Amino acid sequence: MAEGLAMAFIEDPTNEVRRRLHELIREPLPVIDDQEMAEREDAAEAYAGEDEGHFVDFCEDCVATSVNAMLDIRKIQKECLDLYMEKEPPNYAKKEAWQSKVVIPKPHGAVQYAMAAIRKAFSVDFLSIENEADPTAAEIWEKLMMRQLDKRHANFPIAFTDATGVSFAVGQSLEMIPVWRPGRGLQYSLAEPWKIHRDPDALSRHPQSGMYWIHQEYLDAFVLKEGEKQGKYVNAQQAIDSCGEMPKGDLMLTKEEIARRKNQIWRRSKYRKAVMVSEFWGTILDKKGEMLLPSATYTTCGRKVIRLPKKSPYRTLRWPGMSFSPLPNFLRYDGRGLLEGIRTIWYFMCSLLCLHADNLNWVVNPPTEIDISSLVDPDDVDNYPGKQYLTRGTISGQQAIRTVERKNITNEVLANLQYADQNFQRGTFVTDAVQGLPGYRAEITAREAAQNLDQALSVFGLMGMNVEDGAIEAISAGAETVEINAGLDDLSEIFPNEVLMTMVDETSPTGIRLPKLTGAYHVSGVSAVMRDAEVIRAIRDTILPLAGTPLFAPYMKPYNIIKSLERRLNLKDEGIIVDEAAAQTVDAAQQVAQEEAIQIEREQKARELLTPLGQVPGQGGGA
Amino acid sequence: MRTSNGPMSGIGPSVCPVTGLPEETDELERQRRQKKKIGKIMARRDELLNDLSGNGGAVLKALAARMADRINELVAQDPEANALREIMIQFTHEINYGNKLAESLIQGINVEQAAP
Repeated sequence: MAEGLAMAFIEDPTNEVRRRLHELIREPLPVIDDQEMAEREDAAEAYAGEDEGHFVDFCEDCVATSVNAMLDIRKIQKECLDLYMEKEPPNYAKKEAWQSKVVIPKPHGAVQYAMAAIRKAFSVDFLSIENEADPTAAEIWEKLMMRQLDKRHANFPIAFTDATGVSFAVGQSLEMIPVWRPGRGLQYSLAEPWKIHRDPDALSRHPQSGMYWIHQEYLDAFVLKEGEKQGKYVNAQQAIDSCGEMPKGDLMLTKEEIARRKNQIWRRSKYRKAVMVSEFWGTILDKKGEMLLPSATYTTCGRKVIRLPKKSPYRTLRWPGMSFSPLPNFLRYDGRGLLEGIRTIWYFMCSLLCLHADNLNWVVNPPTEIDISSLVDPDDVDNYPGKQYLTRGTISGQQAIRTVERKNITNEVLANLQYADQNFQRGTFVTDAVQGLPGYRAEITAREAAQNLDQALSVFGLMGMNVEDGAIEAISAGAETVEINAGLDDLSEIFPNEVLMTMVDETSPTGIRLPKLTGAYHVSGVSAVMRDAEVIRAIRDTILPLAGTPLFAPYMKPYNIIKSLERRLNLKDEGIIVDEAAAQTVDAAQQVAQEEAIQIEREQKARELLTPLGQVPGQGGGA
Repeated sequence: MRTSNGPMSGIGPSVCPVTGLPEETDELERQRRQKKKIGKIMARRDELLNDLSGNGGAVLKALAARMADRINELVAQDPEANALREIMIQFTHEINYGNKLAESLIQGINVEQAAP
C-alpha cells in the first residue's frame, strides 16, 4: 500500500505514454490534400447558399441527438448544481410555515476546499515545454504561452480553477474555449457544459473525439448585427426575423417543435432581444449521409446559416473547446464530481436537523396542561410570563397548571448526524483531515493524523492528475489559437528584435511565422505540489536528523538540501538563500575548516599514542 | 482581423441544464403572464359581484333560502303568529311565509339597485 502511494508521487512515465496514446486515438480524419479540401469547402459553401435548410436541419438533428442521449446526465448535473448552491432540498416546498427549513452548509464548502487545492497548485511557473529536437522552439513557446496565460491575458490559473470548480460540483468542467481578442491577446470563454452538445460517441477523456461539437448560446441581436458589419456573419437580420417563425401552411408541427421554435427568442429586458445561435464544428454530412467536409464549422440562427461552412482554422484541433472531469466515466465522455454520491445523505442530514429543530419547539416551549376544575375562574386560561392563577387546590395536591414534558433526544440526533457526516466526508473525499479539522475522535496521535491526511490526499492526487490532463488540453488549444492569431505587435513585448526578425513572414496572414508548435507540455499542478510535500517531509523527517550525526554528516551536501527546500517552498524570490558562487566559497571554507579539524584530531590521537602510560598528555616527560 | 475564423466570443445567459432555456424569465412573456393574471383576477371579481348582487345571483338565492327557513322557524315558535297562521290555513291553504318575505326582500334589493 505504502509502495503504491509512493509510486503516485514519482514522476510517472505512463503520463507521457497516455498523452501520446491520446493523440493517436483522436478521431482519425480522412487524408484530404489542400486542393481537395479547398474544392470541398467551395462546394459546401455553394451548397449552403442553395439549400441552407439542410445545414440548419443537420445542426438541429445533431443537437437533438446529443440532448436526448444526455438527458439523464443533465438531470444529475442540475441536481448537483442545486446541491452546490445549497438550494433547499426539493421536499422543503411542501413544509408548513412553522416547520424549519434548515440547510446544512456542506456541499459548497467541500467543493471550495477541492478548488483551493487546485488554485494553490497553479500559482507559479506551472507550465514547461520540452522539445529535445528543437530546444529554441520550446523556449520560445514556453515564454510566449506563459505571457499569454498570465493575469493580464488569459488569467489561466483563475479560469482553470473556475472550470475545475464546476467539475468538482457537477462532474464535468466548464467548457474552456480559447478566443483571441485583438489588443488583449488570448482569453478563455467559459461555457457551462450543458451549452455544449457533443457527439454522444465522444470517448472518455478525449475532448476532440466524436463527430461533432456544437456550442449553443442566446446572443444579443445587436451582437449578431455588429458581427455582420465586421464580416463574421451574414444575413443577421433575416436570421433574427426567422427565429420563432412558424412555417406557413405546415400543420404537422408537434407541440414540442412549436415550443422549441418559440424558445429561439429570449428578451432579457424591454430593449434587449437575444436569439439562439448554434455554432457547429466537426464533420458535415449531406442529405444522403455522405461526407461534405471532414473538419469544418458553420453557424446557424433561426432557420438561417449566418456563417458559411469553412474548414476548421486550427492546425490540429477540430473544435476549440475542451472540458474535463476529476473522475472521468470509464465508458462515456462525462464524469463524476464530489457531490453526486452524497446527494441523498445531504438531504437526510438537512431533514434530520429540521425534524430536530421542529421537536425543539416543544422541548423549549412545552405545551401546558390546565385543570380548569381547580381554577377559581375556569375561563381565565391565558398564559404568559408572570401570570397569576387563583386555584382552589386539588385533592391529590397536584398542580392545576403543569407543563407536558418531552424527552430531549439531542444526543441521539447528533449521533445520527455524526454518522451521516462521516459518510458525507467519505463520499466527497473532503475529510476533516483534508480540511485541517480535528475530526470526531478525541484521542488521536500526531502520527495517526498525518497518516490520515496522507491517505485522504492520495485521492486528490488522482483527481489532480486527471485535471492536469485537462489543463494540458486547454493550454494546447490556447497555443493553437495564439499560433493562428498572434502578430508582430503581440510578440514585441516578449521577444527582442533579433528574435522577432527571424519570425517575420509576409506570406503568413498574421505577418509572422512562429516555430512549429511541437514538444511535450508539462503542467506542474496538484500532483507536483503533493510530490513536493512528500520531499519536504522526507527531508524534515530523515535527512535533517541524519545531518546532525557525525557518522552521516560528511556525506550530506547542505547547500543542495537547502536549495531543495527553497524550490519546494517557493521561497526563491525572498532572497534568503545565497547563490551558487557564494555557496561554493562557503563549501570551500567549510572543507578547509573540516580538514584542519580532522588534522588536529589526528595529531591529538598521535600524541596520545606516543604518550607513555601514566603521563598526562601535553605535560612532557620532565621530572 | 482573423477573429472571424474563431469561435463565438460571447457567453449568453445561464440556462437550465435540462431544458436549455434561460433561468431568467423572458420579459415579454413575464408581461404577458402578468396581464393575463390581472385579467383573470378582474373577471373573477366581476363574477363574484354578479353572484352577490346581480339578478338571480347564486349567493343571494342561497341567503334568501336560509332567511326563509329562519322566518318560518321564528313564526312557528311565536304563539301569536302560529295562531294567526292556523286561522289562515283554515281559510285558504298552507303558506310559506318565509319564502314570500325573502322574495319580496330580493325584489326590494333589485329595485334599489335599478334606481339611479
